[in-house]
Amino acid sequence: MGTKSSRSLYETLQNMDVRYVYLVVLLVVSLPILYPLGLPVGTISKETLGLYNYIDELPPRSVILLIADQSPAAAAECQPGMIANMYHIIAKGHRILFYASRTDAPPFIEDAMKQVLGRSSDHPDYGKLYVNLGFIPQTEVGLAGLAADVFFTTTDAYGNDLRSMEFFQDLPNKNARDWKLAIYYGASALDWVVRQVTDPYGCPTGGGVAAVLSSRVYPYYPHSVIGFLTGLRGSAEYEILVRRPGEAAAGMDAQSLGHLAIIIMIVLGNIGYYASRGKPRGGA
Amino acid sequence: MLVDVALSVRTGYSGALLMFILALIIVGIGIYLTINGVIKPRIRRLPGIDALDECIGRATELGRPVHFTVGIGGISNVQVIAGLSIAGYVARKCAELGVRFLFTFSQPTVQPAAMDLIKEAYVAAGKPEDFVQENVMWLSGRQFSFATGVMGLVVRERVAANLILGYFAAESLIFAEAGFRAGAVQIAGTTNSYQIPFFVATCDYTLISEELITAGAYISQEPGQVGSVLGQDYIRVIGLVLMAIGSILYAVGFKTLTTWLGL
Amino acid sequence: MSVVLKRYIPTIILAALAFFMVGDTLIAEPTYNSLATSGRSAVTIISAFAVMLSITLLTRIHAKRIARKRTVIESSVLLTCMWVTLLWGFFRFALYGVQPTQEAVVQNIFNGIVSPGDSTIYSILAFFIASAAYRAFRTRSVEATILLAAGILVMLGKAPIGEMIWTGFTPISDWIMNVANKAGSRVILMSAIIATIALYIRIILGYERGWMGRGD
Repeated sequence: MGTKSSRSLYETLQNMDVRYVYLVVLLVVSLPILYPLGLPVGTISKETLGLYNYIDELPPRSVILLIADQSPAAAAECQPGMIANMYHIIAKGHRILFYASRTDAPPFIEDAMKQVLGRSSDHPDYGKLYVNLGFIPQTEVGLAGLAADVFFTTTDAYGNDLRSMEFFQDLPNKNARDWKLAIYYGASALDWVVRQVTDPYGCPTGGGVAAVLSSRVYPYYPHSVIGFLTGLRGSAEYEILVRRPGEAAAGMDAQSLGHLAIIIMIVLGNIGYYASRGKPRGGA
Repeated sequence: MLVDVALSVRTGYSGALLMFILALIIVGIGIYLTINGVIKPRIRRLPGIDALDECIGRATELGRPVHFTVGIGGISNVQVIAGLSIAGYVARKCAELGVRFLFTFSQPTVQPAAMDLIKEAYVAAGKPEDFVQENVMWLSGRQFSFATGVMGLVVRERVAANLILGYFAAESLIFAEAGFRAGAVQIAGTTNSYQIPFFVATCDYTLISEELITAGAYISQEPGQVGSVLGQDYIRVIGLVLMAIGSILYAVGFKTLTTWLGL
Repeated sequence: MSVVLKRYIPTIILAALAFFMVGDTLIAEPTYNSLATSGRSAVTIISAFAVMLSITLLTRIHAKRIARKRTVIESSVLLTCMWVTLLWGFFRFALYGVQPTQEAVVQNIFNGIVSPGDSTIYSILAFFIASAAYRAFRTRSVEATILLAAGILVMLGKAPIGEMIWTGFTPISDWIMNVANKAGSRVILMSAIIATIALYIRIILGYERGWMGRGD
C-alpha cells in the first residue's frame, strides 16, 4: 500500500497538472508586488557599472544617442532603465538625442521626457540639450542614414528644423563621430547598433536590454558594448546607483520569488522522474 | 570617378574590403568546384529537415493540417528567406498528399512572395485547384497580436505538425507551447541565439542558426547551392586558422596581422 | 521573355543594388556616398508603403469576415471602427500639424488598449516558461544535466535572493555568462553571419529564389 501511494506521489510530481504550475507562478509574482518584502537588490553587476562609469567619465556636454526600441511588452523591463539613465545623463550635463526605431516607441520617449524633465518639446532646453527625432523607419537602414548624417530626418519629431537648433551647431562632423555613446533600449537585438554606429564611427554602444536578450549582447561586451542593463535587475541596479529607486527596484521581490519557485518545481519534477524510474511496476 | 572610388577605401576598412572580396572568391570557388563535379560535397544530416517528411506523413494519417510560420520578419530578413525555401518544399509535399497547408506571416512584404511560392508548389504537384488563398494568412503586423493569432489558429485547427522556421523574438515560446497543447510534432529554427533555448526545450527538432539557412541547399541538393555551403565551410576554416594564429601572435606582442586586416 | 523578366531581371537589379550599398560601407567617395544616402532614403520611403499594404490587407480580411458574418465579428467591427481614429489622427496631423504622440485620442487607444494588450500576452510567457522548464528540464543525459545545472546557477545568480542564500552564486553565474555563454553565442553568431553571406551570394547568383516567390 505504502509503495503504491509513494509511486503515485512521484508520478504526480513528475506530471503535475500545468495549471498548478501557473497558479504557483501567479501567486509568487503577484503577492510580492502587492505586499513588498523589501529584499535587497544585491551587488551591482559589472555590466551595469560599466555603463554607469562610462557615462560618469564622459566630458561635459557629450552627445548621447538614446535608441528607443521597446515595445509595450519590453517596456516593463527597459523603460525604468531608460529613465534612470536619463536622470544620470542629465545630472552630468550631457546632451541627449532621442530616436525611436519602432512605431511603438515614441510614446515611451515622450513619457520618459515628461517624467524626468517635466516637459518634452516645450522644455526650455529642448533644442539645446535635448532633441527628439521621433520614429525613423527601417531599423538598421534608418540608423545607418542617421549615423552618416545627423540631419537625415531634416526635422525633429515635432516638425522643427534641425539645422536651426543650437544642439547641432558646435558638432564638427554632423555624424556619429560626434556621439560619445549610443544606448539601445529594447528586446530585439543590439547587433545592428554595433554594426552601424560602433564599427564604422567608433562610437561605443550601451544597452538597457530585456533579460532574454542579454546572452546575445555578451559577445560584444566589453569591447563594442561598454556596459548594459540586464532586464529588470539591471534597471533596478541603475536606479540604486542614481539613488532613485522606482518600478524596477519594486519588481525585484517578485523576480526573486519567481525564480525560486521555478527552480523548486524543476527540482521536484526531477525527483519525481528519478524516483518513478527506479520503481518496479505492479508492486514488489 | 571609378578610379577615385577605387582609391578611396574608408579608413580602417581595408581589412573589411579584403575579407569581402575573399568571401566572394571563396564561395565562388566552392560553387565552381561543385558545379563542375570536381568535388562532390555532402551536407551532414539535419534531423530537423529529415523529419519534415515524417511530419507531413503524420498529418496525412491524422487528417489534420500542417502549419508553417516564418515569424515576424519581413522579406528582407535572411531567416524569412530561408524559411520560404523550406516552405516551398513543404507546400509541395502537402499538395501531393492532400494535406491542408496553413501558412502564416506577420509582415505584409512577405505576402506576394509567399502567395506565389505556395501557389506554384500546388501547380508543380499537379493540384492547382487545391490551392486555397485563405490558407496563406497574414494575421497581424504586431508581434504579440501575431503570436495570439497563431496560438488560436494552431489550437483551433489542431494541427498535426507545427513548423516554426524563420525570424522569431520573444513570442517564440508562445508558438511552441500552443503547438504542444495541440499535440503537434514541432520543428523550429531561427538564427536568434537567445530564442534557440526555448525551441530546444519545447520542440521535437530544432535547427540551430546556420542549419536553418543551409536547409534550402540540403533539401534541393542543387550543385550551386551545395557549392555555396562548401564555400561557407572554407571561409569558416580560414577564419579559425586566422583566429588561432592571430591570437597567438597578439599574445606574444606581434600585432601585424591585426593591423594588416584593419580590425 | 517572361523567364528573363521573372527570374533574371530581379536578380540583376538585386545584385547591382547589393554591391552598390555594400560599396558605400567600404568606400569614402562623396558623390558615391551621397547616392547611397539617397538609396537609403528611398528604402525608408518604400517601407512606408508597406504600411499601406498592411492596411489594405487588414481591410480586405475583416471586411470579408463581416460580410460573411463569420462566428466572431465583433473584433472585426471594432478593428474597422478604429479606422476612424486612424483617419482622425491622420487628418489632425495633415491639417493642423498635431503629432500622433500628442493627439489625445490616439494616445488613449495606445495607452488603454494596445499597450496593456501587448503586456498581457508578453506576461503569458512567464507562465509558459515555468511550464516549459518544469516539463523539459529533466536530467535524462549528461548534456541535459549540465544544461539544468547551468540554468539553475544563472537563475540564482541573477535573482537577488540567490545572493542572500549564498554569495558564491553571483561569481559562478558571471563566469557562465561571461565565458561559457559568450563563447557559445559567438560561435552561433559567427556561423549565422557566414551562412548569411553564403545565402546572399546564392541569391545574387540566382540559386535561391524563395524571395521571388519561386520554389524551383
